[in-house]
Amino acid sequence: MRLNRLKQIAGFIVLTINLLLFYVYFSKQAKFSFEFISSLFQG
Amino acid sequence: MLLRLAMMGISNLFILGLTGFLFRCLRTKTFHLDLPIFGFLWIFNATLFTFLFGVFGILKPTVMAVVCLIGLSVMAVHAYRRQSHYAATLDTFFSRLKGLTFTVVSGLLVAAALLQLGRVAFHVWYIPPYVHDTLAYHLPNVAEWVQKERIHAISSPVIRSNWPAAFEVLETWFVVFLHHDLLIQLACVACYLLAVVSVFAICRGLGMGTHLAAGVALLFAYTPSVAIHATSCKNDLAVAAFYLFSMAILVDLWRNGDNAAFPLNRRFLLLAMAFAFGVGTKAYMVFIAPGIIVLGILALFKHRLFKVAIHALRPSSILSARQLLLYTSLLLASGVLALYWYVRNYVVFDNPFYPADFRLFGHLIFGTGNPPNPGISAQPSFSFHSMWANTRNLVTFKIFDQLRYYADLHRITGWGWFSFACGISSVIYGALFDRRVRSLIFCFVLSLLSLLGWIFVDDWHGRFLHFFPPIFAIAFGATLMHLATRWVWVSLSVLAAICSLLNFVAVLNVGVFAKEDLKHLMETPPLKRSAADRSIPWSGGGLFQQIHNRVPKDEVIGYNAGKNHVIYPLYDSDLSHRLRYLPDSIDNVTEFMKSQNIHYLYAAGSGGRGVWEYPYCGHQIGIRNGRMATWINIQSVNREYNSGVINAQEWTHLAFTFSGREAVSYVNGEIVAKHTDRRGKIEFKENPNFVIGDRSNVAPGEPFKGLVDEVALFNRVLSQQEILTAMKHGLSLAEPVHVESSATLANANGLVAYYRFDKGTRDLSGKGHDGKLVGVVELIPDEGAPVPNGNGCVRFSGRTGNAVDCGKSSDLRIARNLTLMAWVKPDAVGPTQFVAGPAYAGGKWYRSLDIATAIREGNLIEITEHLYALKSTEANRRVHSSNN
Repeated sequence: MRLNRLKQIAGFIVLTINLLLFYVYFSKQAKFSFEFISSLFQG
Repeated sequence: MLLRLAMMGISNLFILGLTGFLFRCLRTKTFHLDLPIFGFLWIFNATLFTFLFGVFGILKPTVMAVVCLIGLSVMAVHAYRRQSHYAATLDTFFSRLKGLTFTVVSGLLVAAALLQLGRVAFHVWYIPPYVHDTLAYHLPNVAEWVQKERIHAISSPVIRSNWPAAFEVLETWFVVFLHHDLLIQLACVACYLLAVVSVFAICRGLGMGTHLAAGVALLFAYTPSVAIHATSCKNDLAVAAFYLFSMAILVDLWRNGDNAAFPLNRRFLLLAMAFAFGVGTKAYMVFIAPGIIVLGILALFKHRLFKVAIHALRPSSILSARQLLLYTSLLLASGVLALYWYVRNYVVFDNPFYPADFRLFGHLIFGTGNPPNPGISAQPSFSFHSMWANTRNLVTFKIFDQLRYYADLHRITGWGWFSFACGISSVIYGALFDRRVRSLIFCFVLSLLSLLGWIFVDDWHGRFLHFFPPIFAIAFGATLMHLATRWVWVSLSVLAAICSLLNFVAVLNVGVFAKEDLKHLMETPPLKRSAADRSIPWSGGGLFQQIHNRVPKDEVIGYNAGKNHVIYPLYDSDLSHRLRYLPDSIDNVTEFMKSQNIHYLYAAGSGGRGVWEYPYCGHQIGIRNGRMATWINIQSVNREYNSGVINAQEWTHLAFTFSGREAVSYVNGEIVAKHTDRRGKIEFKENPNFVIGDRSNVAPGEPFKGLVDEVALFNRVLSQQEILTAMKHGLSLAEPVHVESSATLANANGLVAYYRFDKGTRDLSGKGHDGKLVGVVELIPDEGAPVPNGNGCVRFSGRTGNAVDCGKSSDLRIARNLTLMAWVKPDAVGPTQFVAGPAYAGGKWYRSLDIATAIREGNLIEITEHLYALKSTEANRRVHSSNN
């Protein structure tokens, strides 16, 4: 029971860290990643 | 072409059959391991077959196809005799297919795989080779081998073409039959698939289910750097594939121990073959080997297999004489494929690692101690300093991928969204809590650190790291198994899927091509698509196509270029143009060309003054051979544009704008060139000073000789009308300005620096970037550009070191959206002369072929940019064309 609880907490922590890292990466890379796809919708 | 396709088909059937035969001897009857084993054997056979024909000088499609046909016939007879066996094998295969159940998850996985494969197929079919290194030194090997029908050390200014080239042999397989590079990228695709199925095998070996393992393999397959390299023609993905293949074999041993279906001697054989192939592809296979070795030791230790392993290394462990023959032959072939390049280089250059040096504990073992080529820095030996500095660079900026993904991976890893957002935490989690992956993470990290310790410190090493991102995906898969809570599982999977989708979107154009470029390539007939196409970043805006149009195909093109110059497009996609390298040491170009019956010369040096390598030149304007020259460095890629006409002793207005997407050159207010072949930010090395007249903080600076006036720099792109107005009226016309009053000019929208040289070198923009006279520079009070109140200019003597130094304020280094303009009155227009811009801050100067003398003496004439012809040849050609 306790182990399952711990696993749940660990999962929540991993997910939170991942979302944070996603945001960090988004701030660095997003403008480049979307560059081409957005150009497809222009003109 | 039909005959060529038939020959290719027959030969591929033979290689498939041969692979099937070897596979039957080496398979494990475990599906997830048999997949990479089959893939590896196919790659190995195709390479070895091409290699043998190439080394013996019979790399002829007809000969190869005939041999394959004979081989196929033998196989057909063999198959006929054992038809019941093959029928049973096929039955088993089809019954397994029928046994597959289709679920939503498997449907999604198949769709994801097909999506990525579709992208890869699109690039193989529509995009010719486009990556700098492949065009500079990988593919010239392939072109020369196919043309000369033998594998040999080619003569090229880019001496890196002498690196081990087993992968180029595989690429040759895809070119030799068609005599065209349309399918050349399939060599990379084969390695890509091997890497992906190896990751699948690793995951299955770790105990993951089929769906999860397939998902993890796909997460790796979507990694931007890997996906881009699947069609890059570079050999780094091959090394990663061999590494992962080895890991798959060892993970299985580590988890499951020795078993009769996959005995140790067979594992050792496959490991040795993969390692040898890797070494023959790139020497850094040795640097990443520690992870493989340690995992092997861990596996043997875990199952107490050391004695068995020693026994397995003995020939007596192999059961039959037939097996012994097979094993010996394969080991021998692998050894030849690995060592051929090193032995050849030792024989030819007296250094097996040519053109790099090799040192051991600080002592020079091979080489000169002075690498002859920029870009080849000798690594002294393993160095903790390198390891620390490379690791620091990796962690502090490369991993963040703060630039567009593209194959050169400069200052980025290209590991992408998933690796960063999901992989890092999973690796940490796995290392802390998951015993299954802890050892594997340790081995991958060990390989990474070893590699970073062996390679020297620079920004271009991302390409060596393709072997590493699988650990992010594998650790993620293991974390999912660990965190069995449903909502966490689903959330993490959705995040991973989103990240992979973003990875996919980001590499749709492999980071290089604009929509218009891709459209243009798609509209070009397949056999006409060429690395010389104007859409390709390194084609010089169509320069190579012009050369192909001007030079008849039966003529040899002599060429001389820099030591890192793109050469492959000169061959054209059907390899129809023959090349001959004219080294710098030739004293009399004309005589040499006549003696060798070479009538055309492509010279990408600077007409006898030498070749400049690696100038980080920011944004500069000047004059070269009577044209306006613009030197820019966009994302560390140097570009030089020459356009318009400039006459000696005449005041001429030069202007240059760069928006980040388009570079436009103006001469006297007229647009003379527009370039869109490089996009992004202009880069500067080591904060260079903004200078006028000479960029010689390192010699030679190509100093200006003559008068310069009205130098202005804006941090926005001026329209043509604004440039015309500035040219005709000067920047002071709107409101008359006194030299001492700079307030009005400061209002000029976006003006950053402005020098009229009327009474000094003061910056009239009001930004305070006043110039300093350096060396012998004269202020001329009674002469100036033809603008109102244009009295006063500055005269440069054409001597190195004489310049106006405007300081190193960051305002004067503009990454995009800039306009730089100046009036010039050169004494002569022949030599290259720098006018204004941030100075060079690095690089070396090399002597190049002396074509200036041949031009001056009238023996050589320029017929298009960088293309020269012996005068008689061009005259003959013109007469010939007019008669026709």
